[in-house]
Amino acid sequence: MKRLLVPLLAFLPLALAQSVEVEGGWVRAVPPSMAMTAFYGVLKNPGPEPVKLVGGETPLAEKVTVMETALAPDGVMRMRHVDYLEIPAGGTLVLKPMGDHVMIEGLKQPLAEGSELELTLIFDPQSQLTGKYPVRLEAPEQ
Amino acid sequence: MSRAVSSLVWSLVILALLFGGVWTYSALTHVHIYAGTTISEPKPLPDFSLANTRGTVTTARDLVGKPTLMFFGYTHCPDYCPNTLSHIKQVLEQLPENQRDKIQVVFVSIDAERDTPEVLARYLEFFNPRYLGLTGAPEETESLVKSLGVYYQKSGEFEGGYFVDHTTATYLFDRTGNLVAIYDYSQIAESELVALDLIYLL
Repeated sequence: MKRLLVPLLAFLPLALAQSVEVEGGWVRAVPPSMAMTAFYGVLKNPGPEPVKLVGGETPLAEKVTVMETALAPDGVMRMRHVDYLEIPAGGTLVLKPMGDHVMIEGLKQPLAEGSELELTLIFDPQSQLTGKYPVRLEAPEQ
Repeated sequence: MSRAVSSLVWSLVILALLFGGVWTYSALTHVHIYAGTTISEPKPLPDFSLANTRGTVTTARDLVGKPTLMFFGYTHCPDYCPNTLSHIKQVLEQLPENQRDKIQVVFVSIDAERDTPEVLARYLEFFNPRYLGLTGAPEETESLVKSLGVYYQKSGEFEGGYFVDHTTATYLFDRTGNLVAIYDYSQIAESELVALDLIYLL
């Protein structure tokens, strides 16, 4: 019995580390002349520790970066690359138009509306989440 | 029973008086409350002359004749510009089909360095080929920018490009070319209300 338990215990931390989930993820369809687009969605962290979204990858673009967007009271919108965006423990990070988002830079081909983009999100502590997200012209209805 | 009937009649009378009052008031004062910030003293478009996406030049006088929705952006803008264009599309879709052509949508680029008329045309075609794009050097857009209180500043340089911080308002002009309302980024998303403003101006 003891022999069986020890290797099982070794796997316990892995089993406890609940992973981030994406709800309502989508990618914006952009004109073929544009080499960048954005990914939006709600990232849920069910775990007991905060998780940082640090970047990502996709086979269809050169780079995936994390963007912080601030909208000043005077209506000026400022975007900047950041090293990470944090998903609080047991909380969510909302990526939405006119707000924080994931940037997909250097598109290798136009993304047609109605197609899907495979995107891997990379987190710290080290974990990854790969999903296929619909390419849409407009945000889905809430 | 008769009591119920009489209170119903009274409520109808009161409602009729209320609506009548509101109608008379708005008819007498010609007040229309816009879904955006109403400009109490309509302001005429300043003089300007900018290259357009149809291969010619557009001046303030060319925009007179139709209600106009105007906003400022740049084609490398990954979030706000496609977002606003999709809201404007939703606004136009609220109008009867034969009325949509009567509204002018104007995208003014504040990034002439990258947005040539050709680049801008290819970009706008994706959303709606009827949208008019205007572009010009800072000194050419200056009169519009100043008169409308637009702010923009190149920022966030990165490998392969840069962003432009800028104001996110959409401006509504009536058929005579007067600025009548300004929508912020959340007001322009209220497509049904913005469509009512356009119908009022048509």
